[in-house]
Amino acid sequence: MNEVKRTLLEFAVVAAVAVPLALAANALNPEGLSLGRDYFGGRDVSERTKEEVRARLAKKGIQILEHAAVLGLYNDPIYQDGAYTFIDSRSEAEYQRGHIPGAYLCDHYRVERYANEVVPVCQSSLQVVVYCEGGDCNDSELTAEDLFHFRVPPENLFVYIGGLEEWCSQGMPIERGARDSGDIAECPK
Amino acid sequence: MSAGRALARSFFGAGGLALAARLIVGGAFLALAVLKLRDPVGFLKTLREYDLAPAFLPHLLNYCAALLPWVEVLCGALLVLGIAVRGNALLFAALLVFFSAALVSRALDLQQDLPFCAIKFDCGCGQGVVNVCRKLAENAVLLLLSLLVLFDRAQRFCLRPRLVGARAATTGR
Repeated sequence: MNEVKRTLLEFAVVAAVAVPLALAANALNPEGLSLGRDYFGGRDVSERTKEEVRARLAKKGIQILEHAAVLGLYNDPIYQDGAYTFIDSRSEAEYQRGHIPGAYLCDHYRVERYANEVVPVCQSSLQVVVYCEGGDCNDSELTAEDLFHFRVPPENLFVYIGGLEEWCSQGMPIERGARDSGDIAECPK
Repeated sequence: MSAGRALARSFFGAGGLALAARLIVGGAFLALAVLKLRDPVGFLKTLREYDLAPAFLPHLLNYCAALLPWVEVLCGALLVLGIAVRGNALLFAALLVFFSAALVSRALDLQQDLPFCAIKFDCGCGQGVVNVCRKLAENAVLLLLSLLVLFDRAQRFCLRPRLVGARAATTGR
């Protein structure tokens, strides 16, 4: 067998061994991905301007909320009594670094971990505000859709599209660590 | 000084250069794969930004994000140990060509009015936001080293350099 054929065959053997092993490793990894899940709801990566997000959410009866309205809910005394719920749709690590005070964590990509706690709270809230980092992140939209599928009434569901970026740019505080940890701080510069 | 040079020449001449290349390429892939494995969802989201998966294969991206880092870990470890050296070197060379093409394509999408070498973005390489030219230069160096390993005839300091057609395993002679 000549050297080129031998190398190509070795390449094929390596790939044939590596792929099943990688599949097994992913399956055994608690942080592994679900291969059959459509994580992005079939939407195109480029379709995330505010207008496109608004149009997609409107089809499900979910609305976009601007910063002034979010601030109104946050400062409303009944927020502390649980009438409104803020949902942070980012990863747990990002949430721990800082979230809107009192917000629940519900990461779209790990929604099965949080649904049991978060869905009943959302179902009993007057308004549910979902946010992510802001900018062009669309995790808030995806989490709002998850909550919609978990039968949270769409008329109560809102996406704060400015997200934590806008929250911080307006000088609002964040809470570090777990929900209601009391560790309130300024946003990092 | 000349004794040091002679030692270095003797080391590199005796397969030391190929050994160093193997360790650098295998080690780099191994290290970057471990960084990707720390946040599989983050890696999936970054891969999506490349917009490479066709619409009729919605789960292709999941497979790439889930399998690629583990394949890199396994093949990186094999290359470091000197097992199936050419097969792994060819795999890494092919991956580096593909990664570099994807990197250029994404950078051009992001370019707008910026000079090409001023573009920075999270390439999904496990290193966070990187400068595109710097990353391409890194890939070029790794590609050259992969080719060096691929075309190394001596294949010394290897546990089992050939899986196919090998009559005898070569050890660190």
